[in-house]
Amino acid sequence: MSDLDDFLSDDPLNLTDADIDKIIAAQRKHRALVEGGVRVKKDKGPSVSLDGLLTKITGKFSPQPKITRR
Amino acid sequence: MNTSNLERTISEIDRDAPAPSPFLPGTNIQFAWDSTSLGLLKTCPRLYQYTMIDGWGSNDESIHLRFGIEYHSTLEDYDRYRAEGLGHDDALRESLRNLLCRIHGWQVDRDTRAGKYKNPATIIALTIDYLDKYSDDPAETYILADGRPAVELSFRFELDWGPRQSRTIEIAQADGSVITGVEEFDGQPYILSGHLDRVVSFQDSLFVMDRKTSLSTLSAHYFSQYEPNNQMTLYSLAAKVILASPIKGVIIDGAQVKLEENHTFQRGFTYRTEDQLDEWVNDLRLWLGMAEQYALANYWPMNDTACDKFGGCRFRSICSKSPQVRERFLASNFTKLAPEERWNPLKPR
Repeated sequence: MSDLDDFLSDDPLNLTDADIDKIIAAQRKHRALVEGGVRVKKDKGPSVSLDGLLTKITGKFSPQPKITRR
Repeated sequence: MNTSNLERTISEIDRDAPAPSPFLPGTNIQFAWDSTSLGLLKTCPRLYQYTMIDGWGSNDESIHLRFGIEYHSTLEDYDRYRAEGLGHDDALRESLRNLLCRIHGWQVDRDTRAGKYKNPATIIALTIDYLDKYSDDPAETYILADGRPAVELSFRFELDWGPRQSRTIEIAQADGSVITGVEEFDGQPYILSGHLDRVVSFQDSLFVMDRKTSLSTLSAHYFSQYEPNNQMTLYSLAAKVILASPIKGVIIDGAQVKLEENHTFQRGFTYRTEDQLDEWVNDLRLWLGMAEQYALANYWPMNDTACDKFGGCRFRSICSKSPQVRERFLASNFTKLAPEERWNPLKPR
């Protein structure tokens, strides 16, 4: 997780140009790392997590709890 | 029918008005068709029935649909910003801002296969990667005569024939009695509709560009599915009609969504000649005639040679059951969509 979360607000309407540029930079960095051979596990970026960053914007991504039979 | 006779009719589509039904009132006879509904019919009349007539849908479909809509909308925004003169970075930032606003609160269950690949994080990554790759796109957006960029062009045009319609008439006799008869009349013509993602000028020729997201490898095998192909032929025809210009064919602008590697992008070309377009329209007359017959019979037969196509039909488990229990399984495995939520070729995008 990066420090990008710090400046992201809950409301995407409040995002500044710089905030969005950070998101773009994060994805570019991720892409460059993968191109460079860094192995990425599913749903986990190598150093910058878009998921974590987006959680602030779109709310939690975790699915609804499943009801399981004991 | 010669396609050169098709009237150029881009109707002004009211995006705020509720979409009218694509069916003749009180019937299951569909008069407005797009590539999706026509593709369902051609693939399997039963698949068409379950989707278009009965309105059965599933959650996975809505994820794919939402993902596709967000991807298309973001690239459309970007194309418009670029056409207005914005540079790559500014256009990317503004189109991404719009995307972030639209997906605010979009919840996806990532435990599903669809949700694992298609969710808010992957749509953002995919669009940034795509737009960076094509920041200096050799395919240039075509500018319409009125100055608008040819992106997300909704088309709707009438064919020169329609479903056979009949009505009961009363005929007065000389002796004062009245007899009733049935009169056939020319009513609603068939309508073809759809959306062209983008029209581009590439190497001095005009092409429709159609954007596809896929989980499959974008190989020659992937692109071969578009030749021949119902959707791409309709789009070639539509572009020719609405632009009144020669169109070479369609550029398939493929994007492969990946989890552990970078997303990949590849373009493929598919060409259509005038004769191929004519042939498609002639065939269409027969297909629509069959759709009419199915609707009149209130029965849509199963094409049991298509069940394993495209990774397997979503209704395969239903059709494999005995007919008397299918409704029960449909009700438990699918959701019956309200009429306004069903696929409608007349719904503006």
